[in-house]
Amino acid sequence: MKDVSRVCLIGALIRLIIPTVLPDLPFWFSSVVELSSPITSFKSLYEAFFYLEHDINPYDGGINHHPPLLVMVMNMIYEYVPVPLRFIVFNALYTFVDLVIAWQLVLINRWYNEYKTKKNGAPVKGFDDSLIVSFYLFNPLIILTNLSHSTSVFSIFFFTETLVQLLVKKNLARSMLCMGVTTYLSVRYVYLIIPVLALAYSIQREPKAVYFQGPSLFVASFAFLILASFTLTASWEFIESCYFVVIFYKKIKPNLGLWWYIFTEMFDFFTPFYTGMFNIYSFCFIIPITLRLFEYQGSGKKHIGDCFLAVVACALWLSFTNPYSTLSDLGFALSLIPIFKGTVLPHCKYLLIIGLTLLVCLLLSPIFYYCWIVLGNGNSNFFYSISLIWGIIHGLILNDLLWAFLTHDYIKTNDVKPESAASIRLTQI
Amino acid sequence: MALAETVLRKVHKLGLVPKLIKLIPLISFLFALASVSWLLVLPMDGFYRDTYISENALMPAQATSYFRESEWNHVRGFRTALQGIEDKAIPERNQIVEGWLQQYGLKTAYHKNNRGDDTLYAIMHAPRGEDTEAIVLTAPWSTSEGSYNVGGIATAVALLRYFKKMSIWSKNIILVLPEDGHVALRSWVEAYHTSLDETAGSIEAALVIEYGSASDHFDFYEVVYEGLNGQLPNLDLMNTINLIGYHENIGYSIQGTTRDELQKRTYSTRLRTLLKGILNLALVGLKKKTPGNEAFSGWQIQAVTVRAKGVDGPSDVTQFGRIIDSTFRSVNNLLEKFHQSFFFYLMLSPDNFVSIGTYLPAAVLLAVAYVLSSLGCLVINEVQAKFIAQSAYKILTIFIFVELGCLMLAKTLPLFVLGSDDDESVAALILYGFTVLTFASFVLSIKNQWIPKKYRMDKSLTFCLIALALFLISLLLTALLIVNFALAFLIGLAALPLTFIQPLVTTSNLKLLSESPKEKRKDLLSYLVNDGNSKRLKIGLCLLVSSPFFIIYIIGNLFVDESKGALILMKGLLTSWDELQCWTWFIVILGWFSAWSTVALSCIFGDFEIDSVESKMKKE
Repeated sequence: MKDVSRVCLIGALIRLIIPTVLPDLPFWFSSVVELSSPITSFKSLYEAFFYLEHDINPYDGGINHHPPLLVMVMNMIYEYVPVPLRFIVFNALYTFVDLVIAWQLVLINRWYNEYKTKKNGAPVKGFDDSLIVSFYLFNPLIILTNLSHSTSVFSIFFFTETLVQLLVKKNLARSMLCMGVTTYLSVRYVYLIIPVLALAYSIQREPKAVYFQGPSLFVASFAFLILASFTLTASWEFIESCYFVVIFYKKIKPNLGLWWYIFTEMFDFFTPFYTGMFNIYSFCFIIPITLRLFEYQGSGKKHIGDCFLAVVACALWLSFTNPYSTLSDLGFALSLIPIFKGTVLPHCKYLLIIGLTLLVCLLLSPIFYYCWIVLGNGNSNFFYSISLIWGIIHGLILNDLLWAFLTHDYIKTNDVKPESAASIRLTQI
Repeated sequence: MALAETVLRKVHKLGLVPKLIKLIPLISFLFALASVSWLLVLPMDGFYRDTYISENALMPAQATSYFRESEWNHVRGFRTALQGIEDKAIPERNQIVEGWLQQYGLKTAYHKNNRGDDTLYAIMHAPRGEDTEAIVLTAPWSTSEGSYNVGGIATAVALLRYFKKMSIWSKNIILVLPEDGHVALRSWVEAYHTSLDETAGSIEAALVIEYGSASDHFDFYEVVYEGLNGQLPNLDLMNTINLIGYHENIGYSIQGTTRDELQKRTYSTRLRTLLKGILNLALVGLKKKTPGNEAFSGWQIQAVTVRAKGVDGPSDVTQFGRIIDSTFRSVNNLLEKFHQSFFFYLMLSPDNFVSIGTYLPAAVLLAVAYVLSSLGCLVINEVQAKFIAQSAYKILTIFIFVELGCLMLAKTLPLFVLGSDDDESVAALILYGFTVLTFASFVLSIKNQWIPKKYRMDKSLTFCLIALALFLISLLLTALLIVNFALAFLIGLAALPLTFIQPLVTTSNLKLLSESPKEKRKDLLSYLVNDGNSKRLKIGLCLLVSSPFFIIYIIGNLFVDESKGALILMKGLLTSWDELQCWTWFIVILGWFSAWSTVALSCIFGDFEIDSVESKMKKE
């Protein structure tokens, strides 16, 4: 406990002091392509405040892509807090949200180890709470995301809350409500409903509750929020700005994702086809991943599968196929991976390679962007090469995690002794 | 996948992994060796490419230049007048030249740079076109060799007069007359993009001309093209100037090729041009005598310096003018910015080059060599992951302290130089300070028994620190290898002895283990030959020769100036950020020097004695 509070304190100080001392930093970071996209940028949120202040529709001008309720809630800070304190309150809010997420991860980690211990019949020991907190709070990707005041922090918060409500509090209804809020804030999280429902089923085993009430509650809460937004703004414009912009990829801007390059190069009449293709691609791997990792009783009453891993793998997949990819997606997925310390993680083989590749990617991406945009001696291919490496990193992590999962399952189902478990090598036939 | 799996299984079966781990230092060194040999291979036939004009719109040497006999008279006239005012102060000279330019209908203005002499510039608005793009002709009052640029300015004014008569220009032409090609020009370029009132659109290309004699004839011309921070002008511009010179039948030189070797194309000339190019690119902005083209770096301007060499020879001054004229005509043809040809290249001769894809592996191999030896430090000494996690706090504290110290030095030292009246002696003082520091580390790392026991670090921590430092260098190389290949390669090569430290320790410890303890003899030679001492001496030497300040002495005295080279470089490093926005100083001090200091600290306070890991290795 002492360690946890110490880690939290340092993590909080980093998030609180740096932007307080350098108030321009969040705005500057909001313009960095790696850190914030048009969808999550704090700068555009600020622009929306300005619009509201002057009684202009915040969705005019196509700058703001944040959902109305988020804009309204955040606007309260902008409107009611006096100027010198305003930034500090924002910093405090973002710090607070990150701390809560870290704590939620601790709860999830505790649940996971307990759950796996029960299911496997052998003790599963994960990382300490303090380490889980450190992996989130000291994750440079997450720190940078937080310092850029990216609104993706809120989506992450509501998503982890979904998991906590489901797994720790065992409350499916509230979990689905949170999922609705997450989807409202960031529409691509809708895909994660599938692994989340699978996870819900694996711990509740009540098909009716999970597969009927769950989705209905989710849809109801999402619809409620949409209707509330409609009543607040008295127009449907926000649907276009917040959701269609993501789905139809209307704001083509360079980022770490794989979409922008193809859509800038393409003739306009191909765009609808490829938007469809890319969207299908985003979605179509969710179900197979969920199915493969679905939990069931195997032969010999062995518990097989890992739905929580399915959630993480799908989150990684969504980060990979995100049209507006930023560091936050991968950062969040990476912070979830240490939870598997007791099961899958020890079988991961490429962690060093992945780490080095990620480091090189993060190092070169701003340099290549600078070469292209500022110096003019590089071109878009330079930056796109980083997008490709970014994709490869996702592929490597997914590959490594899934293979490690198979190894882990093999060891469990075949009763491999712990001594030989370390040296076991599986082959794909 | 199946093949990879088979190979992996084979590797596993044969137990290659432990064997390979033992060989890491050798592999790392082989990578470094491969990197150097890669560069040495490039000048061989079949590995380089011939230059070509990639942007067809340029059409170099296609238009007939009329800058001929009648214009010669104007050049002569201007030159005689300029010779008459050589003793006057620059503002007075500017006034006279301004009079001429105004007489020919050009708009003139001054840039007040707050450093003394203001910079005169004149704008000729394009008779055609949209008035949004410009080409710059720069003639500094003094050339980079320090002589009075009388021929250059006379030609430039005559050219402007001649340009004004033609109606073909679709890009504005700007003539700039800075005091020199250093701060004065750089501050003009910066002001042009930020604060000047009289501007003429975005600058597409810039030519700096140097003709430092009053002679009518010159021998051949030289082009200097290295920009700041590793930037180069588009290869098309270089080729254009080369081709124009070819059609005028003038010798064309790059990287200081002498008259006799202009036409020579052998392996050795190509290699020399290549190596000189790398060295010059790495040292851009550090020498006080800058050619001027680097002042345009960072604003998407393609700039070169054209310099007339020799006072007599086959070529005359109008030919020099025709090179400028023809180049301007070519650039004037452009509809887009320069984008077709290469921005990253190394020249092997005026007609041969290697592009980035071909030379980049050299730097990549070097970066990999550092990563490998960094890993080797940890793996060979069996530093456990647990240990790293436990002492991460310690490692990071030491590292952050070193880095903060370097940051402080990086920020404050230039202020001392810039703030003092006698900047030369302050720079000298700083250089001597660093030299003393380097030698102190050298001596202390040999004689580390002087350090009290309680300050010693244990062996694992020592190697963690060295590994971290080497890894930092490899990251530095990775970051630089595209943007500034020359600097990356030079640093990578110079700091290479740092990777020898770990293998030196391990091999000599193993050797010590295998030898039976001998009787100690007293004479110096045997003292040195004694393995325990020679190990320390070798480590100290590695440290010494990889220090940035040792390298400054070497490069400075060998390539810059025989007596004062190191001092010139040091002063250049300290002032180049403020004067030219050249970031070499920060790279050297925050990247290279900080890594070096970390290694030096671990050599001084670290423990290199025989431990259980090595005893185990011996037994195996």
